[in-house]
Amino acid sequence: MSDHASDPKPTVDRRTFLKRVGAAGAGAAIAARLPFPGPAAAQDATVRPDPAAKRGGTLRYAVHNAPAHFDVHQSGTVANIGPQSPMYDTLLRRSPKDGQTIIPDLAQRWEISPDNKKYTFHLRKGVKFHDGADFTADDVKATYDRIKNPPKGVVIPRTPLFATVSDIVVVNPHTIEFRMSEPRPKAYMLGAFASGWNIIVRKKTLDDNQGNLRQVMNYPGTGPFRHVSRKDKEIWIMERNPDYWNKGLPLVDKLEIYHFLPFTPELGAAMLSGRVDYARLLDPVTWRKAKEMPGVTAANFNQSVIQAFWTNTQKNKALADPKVRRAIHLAMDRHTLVEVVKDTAPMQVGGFVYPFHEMSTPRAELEKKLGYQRDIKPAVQEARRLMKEAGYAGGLKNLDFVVRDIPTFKLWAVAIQAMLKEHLNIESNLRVVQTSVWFDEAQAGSFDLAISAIVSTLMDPSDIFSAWYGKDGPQNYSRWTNPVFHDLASQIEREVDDAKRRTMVRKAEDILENDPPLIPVAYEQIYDAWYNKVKGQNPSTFFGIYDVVRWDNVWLG
Amino acid sequence: MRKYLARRAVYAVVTLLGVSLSIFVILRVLPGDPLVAILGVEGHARMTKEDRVRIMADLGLSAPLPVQYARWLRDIGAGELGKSFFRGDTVAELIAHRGPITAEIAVLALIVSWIVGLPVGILSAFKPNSMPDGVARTLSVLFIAIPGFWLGMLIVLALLFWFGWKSPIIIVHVWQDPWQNLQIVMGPGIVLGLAQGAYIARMSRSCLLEVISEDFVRTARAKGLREGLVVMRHALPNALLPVITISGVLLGFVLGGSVAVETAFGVPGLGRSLVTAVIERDIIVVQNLVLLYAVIFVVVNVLVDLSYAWLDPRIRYS
Amino acid sequence: MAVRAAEPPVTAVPDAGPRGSVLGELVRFSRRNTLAAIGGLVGVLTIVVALAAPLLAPYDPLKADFRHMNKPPNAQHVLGTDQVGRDTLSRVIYGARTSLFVAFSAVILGTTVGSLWGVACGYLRGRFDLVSQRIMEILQAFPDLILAMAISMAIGTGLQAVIFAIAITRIPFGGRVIRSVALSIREMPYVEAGRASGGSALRIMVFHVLPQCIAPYLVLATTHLGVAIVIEAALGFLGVGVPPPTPTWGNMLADSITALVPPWWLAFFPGLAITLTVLAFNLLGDGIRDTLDPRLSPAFLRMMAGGRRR
Repeated sequence: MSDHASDPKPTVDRRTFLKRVGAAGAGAAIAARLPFPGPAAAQDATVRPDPAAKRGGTLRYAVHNAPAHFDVHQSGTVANIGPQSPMYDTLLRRSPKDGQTIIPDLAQRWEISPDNKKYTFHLRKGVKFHDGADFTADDVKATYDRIKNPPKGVVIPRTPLFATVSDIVVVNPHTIEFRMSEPRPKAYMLGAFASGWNIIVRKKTLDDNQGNLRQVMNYPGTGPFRHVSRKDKEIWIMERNPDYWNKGLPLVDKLEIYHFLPFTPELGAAMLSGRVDYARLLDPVTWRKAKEMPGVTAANFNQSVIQAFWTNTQKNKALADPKVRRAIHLAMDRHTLVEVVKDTAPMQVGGFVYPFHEMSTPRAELEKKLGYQRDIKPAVQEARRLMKEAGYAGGLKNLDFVVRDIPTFKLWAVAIQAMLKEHLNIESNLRVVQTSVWFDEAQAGSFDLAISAIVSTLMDPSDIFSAWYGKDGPQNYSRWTNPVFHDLASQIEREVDDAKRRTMVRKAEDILENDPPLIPVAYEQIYDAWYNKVKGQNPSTFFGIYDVVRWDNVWLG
Repeated sequence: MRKYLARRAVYAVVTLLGVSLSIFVILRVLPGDPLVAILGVEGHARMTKEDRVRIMADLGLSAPLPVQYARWLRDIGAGELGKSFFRGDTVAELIAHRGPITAEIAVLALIVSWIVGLPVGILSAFKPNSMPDGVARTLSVLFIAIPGFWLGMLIVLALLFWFGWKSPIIIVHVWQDPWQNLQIVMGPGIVLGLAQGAYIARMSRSCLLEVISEDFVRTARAKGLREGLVVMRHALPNALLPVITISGVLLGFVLGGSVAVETAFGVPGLGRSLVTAVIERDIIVVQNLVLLYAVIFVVVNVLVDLSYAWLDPRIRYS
Repeated sequence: MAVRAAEPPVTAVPDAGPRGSVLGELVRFSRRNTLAAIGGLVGVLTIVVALAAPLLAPYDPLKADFRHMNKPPNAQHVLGTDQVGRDTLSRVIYGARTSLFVAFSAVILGTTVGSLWGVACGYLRGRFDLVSQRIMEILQAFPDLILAMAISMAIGTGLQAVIFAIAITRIPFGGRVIRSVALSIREMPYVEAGRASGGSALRIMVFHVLPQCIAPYLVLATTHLGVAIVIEAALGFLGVGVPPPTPTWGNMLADSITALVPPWWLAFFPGLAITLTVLAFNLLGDGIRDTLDPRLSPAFLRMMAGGRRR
């Protein structure tokens, strides 16, 4: 599992592969224990059709609500990735078999210079966009120039991933070089190039639309499917791209993508009544029911979303004290919080870094730490001691607790309110607001406590260390600062040695434990279910739902 | 009559202007940021002040409020309903696509309300204060009392769990596949229809009772006609007038009620679009849909008044 | 305005007849209106439950009990517990408190404002009436749920916001019904006499017109109580109602729908409470209306529904 990108040998041969998929199919518990593969990459593992595959048919797939706009680069939600990904390709991608191994996509091969400061991609020849235009290195350059330096009025969440890319050079129409001002870990950079968000669009498309595709519904991609029609908030229909560069793919003729809000009864009802073949982001009740249904398979996998509440360190004097924040952190009975929403959304206990990432504290070890144990008495005792030490033995009053109007947050807010009161005598008033208001309030800092969820764009600690916990991180709603941590984080970002990096990440976790920038509640899981006629995909080992949505190798039996 | 019509028309325009101004003002003071939904949470978090200014200007939201309002009225005058903030879909498309579903629900509700309400009302009026009358009245009050969205929620769950059945998940228009279409509108239509039927039953009962006590019915009875015949032939036609007109009025209520009931049934009608648009702060969609509802309400009311004049020769409009 | 010649004038003259004790009146009323009496009884019971909530509720409605989460009805928790272990029965009981408080406040506020406005319109007529009528038409032209939703969101969700929002949707009903009553009373001889003897408009309105409007006001208020309860519930259902943790029947119902199959006891009991209470108030309202003036019924119904006639 430690193979590097430049290794000529594939990481995962077919046999290991089948074994892994088989094991994963056995269920959730196993998936959760699988180690993160790190920078696993396989240069010659381009997706090939399953020899047994049948062709044709319509796949009916239900996913997240309709997108708010069509610009995948500017988006941060599965509402875009879910329906639009099948129409586009990326430079590299994660294998649809395990969801992790990085394999070629539009780049057939790549080389990384020994000093880690130059990435060279050799692009496929003969690839055409849906409008018939040839795909060349200029399109890749235009795409990445835009992601790296978005034009005015365009906001791209992935921009920071390419902060160290200094030059993007077209060597020839089928070779492109990314030159870096300083090295970054390979896993980080390859992960960024394989990110499902970084779809390759035409240079001309960008030029024609002044670099903003928010309102352009159907811009040409090179992907396995192409646009047919769309009804807002209902359905997006796509057909097989007959000129797809990967001959023999895709296997189904037509994709019908239905829009449903995640975890809703409607989505569940559509799945259970057989109105869709494959459903993603199911609620736990439906998922458990689907699991028992004959002819249906259900799987779960990890997702890079943290559910947390923020403690405003600037508005509230008490919350500025790390001791108070640590006390609040310890007063959370996390196993109970997961239990509270068990019928609403699938969750798991975790700390400040994804609990399933190879660099974070492993689950077994984490659950021995205060704040993560099943028996919360020792943690509560310590929390009370800290409150006393900080001078708040009598608790706190009148905290303004802003809650996003989503069932999980409402349930949690009530439970957290009760835990704070019972364990630390902290009294809070819940203020439930809609999502649009929540983010306004969070950014304006008009709250004491505020509960929500945020997603990281890349499954790498450095991404969250800057976005969530960075001094000016866009999602550092607590307005938290800790110079020691910020220093360490910038070292972690630069460290290319995995082992050293891991040690540093653990050290960073310790800092966060004692001076929490937010209070982690849980990490989300994704529940998928499908009728068994859908073959060729089992997401059990996937990480997140952003990198592996293509449907090119899926077929109907 | 012509003068009356002209005056009604002026009033209608005044009402609609008032509605447009109020909804415009309410939407502009609503807290919440449409840019969250437009950019997504991550994009919104990384947006700079400059970006915000630019995007707001693109959306036409940075002009002074009176200018924005004047522009909206101008667009309506030109038959342009504007676009959703998000995907650039026009409001006209939305109405053309989803409007028919809500309209069908309203019509179905109307039919159900008559089929159920009228016979029950007549039955009650036959023997006022009898057992059947009591049962009918209790039932009708019950149907008015049950929250439609709650009933809808229970029905959806029952169908799913007992029969593994759910209504079609995307809009199928009646001209595409009538049977599929009926499956979509059936639930909300019947639930709303039952509540309206309860009103119809009560209305027809009391109107019948009122008419029965009038002279000409007494005369008919005195002639020795059978009671059933008296009611059907003489009393009913006279009692029907107010019942017909109340249906028109109830139509407005069906449209209002469909907002929650469509949501409960998961039917993608206009009412549901309106709720989503309010929550997403899709201001342009909300203001135009609210205005559409108001137009329907006003038009229906004018029609109700006119139907009075047409059906009842005793009425003259001065 | 349309004038319907054949319609009996809407008056609100209470039944004349021998007066007994209050109890005797009640007995007489219940004998003639068994359903209304039952409705009244249930309504009073609900109010008593709401007032005596702290005495009746077996548990603290806000107290989470993480050892008993999501339990179906059992001996300790007669109606079960919710996702965080709060007792459903206690929440339904306390919910009665909030729901009825919201409904009563909104209806009293809305109907009173509407009625006073209606009296002024009916009595003063002229330009004031004309403008007022247009304003009421504007209010009525909104789907009431959307109006309530928008207003409560605009002034910030909270108990007061919900009350205020529902109250505004009730104003035109009071305004129109009472206006027509005032219009007919205005022509009564004794009012004309008052006018002739030089009483000021305000004086006549307060002493002659207003008292005659009390009966229809009561009928209106009772009938709209049910509507207000349902609107509160619908607002909760659409996620803009009274915010948690305060229990109301509406937000209990909304909070139950957090999974495909809400635990049945969470989805069923609040809905049942709403239905029974609304039923009770509606029956009572019907009874009161029949008693006060049977002739009121058809015209009244029509106005309750549309408020457009006359």
